[in-house]
Amino acid sequence: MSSRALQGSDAQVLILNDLPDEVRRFIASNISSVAQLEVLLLLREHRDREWTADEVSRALYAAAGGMADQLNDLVSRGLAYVTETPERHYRYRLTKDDTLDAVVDSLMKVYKERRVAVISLIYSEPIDNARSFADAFRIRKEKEG
Amino acid sequence: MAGLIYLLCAATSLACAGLLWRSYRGNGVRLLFWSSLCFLGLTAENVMLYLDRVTFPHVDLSLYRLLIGLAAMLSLIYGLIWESK
Amino acid sequence: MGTLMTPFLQGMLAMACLVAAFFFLRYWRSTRDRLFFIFAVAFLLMGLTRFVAALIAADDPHNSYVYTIRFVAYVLILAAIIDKNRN
Repeated sequence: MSSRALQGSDAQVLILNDLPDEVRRFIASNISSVAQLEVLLLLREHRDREWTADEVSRALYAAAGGMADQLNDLVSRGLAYVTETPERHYRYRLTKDDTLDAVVDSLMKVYKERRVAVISLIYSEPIDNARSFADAFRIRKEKEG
Repeated sequence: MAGLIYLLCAATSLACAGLLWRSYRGNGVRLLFWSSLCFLGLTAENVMLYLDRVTFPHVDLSLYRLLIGLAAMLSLIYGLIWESK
Repeated sequence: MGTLMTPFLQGMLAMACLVAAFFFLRYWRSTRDRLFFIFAVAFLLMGLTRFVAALIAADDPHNSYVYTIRFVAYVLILAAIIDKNRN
């Protein structure tokens, strides 16, 4: 964890900087909304279970099918896995980078303990130039949160 | 052969320019604006290469080609430098 | 506008492509997104195109080496886009 001296009214800055670096990086590059985070953590908590979009929506008290966009976004980021048998079932699976499991674990803990800090971080992250550039080349856009 | 290649290059850079512009319209990230401009300029450069080679082989368009290419790359570099955090 | 203007401009262009390539490499390092690596190589090749054009093919701008390198650069960009969408 990086520690910063409190400067005047920079309390919010302290909150944002107090989270572990790899969690901050993970959120910056993968999480664009609280809904998406909740979906990811739900899948992770029940990692051996397969969910349909409706089941996920129900579990999170959202409108039916409302979480489909988030689920598809997670799949395209290599954080979830989808099988079409014949309905789409999703489950937690790191298809691109296994080392992220520890980070997601960390994120889960941090979110439980410091929910507001994580939410602030999700929505205060300045628009990343590099990510925007790379995302521009996605022909079919996934809707953000 | 050369002509076909220049046209293919032009189509590719035009596609890049379009995709970057579309994203710029969506999220207003300035880097995308300059990048889009760059690829537009590169498209023009490739088209001019085609014109230079196929349509007007007796005229030397190299100066204008290079100036457009330079303008394109300067836009990109300007964007990369100024819009970097 | 003497005969040195063209290679001079090519030189500036080559340098600009190199700078862009280095920026893309930096983005690749921070995001680990393959697209940036491919773009970096593509712009490096574009720089090489101008370099070769200025040195070897000053009087023959449509030299086959020149447009081949340019072609590879753009094919790489196309590959990067396809790769990005192949999910």
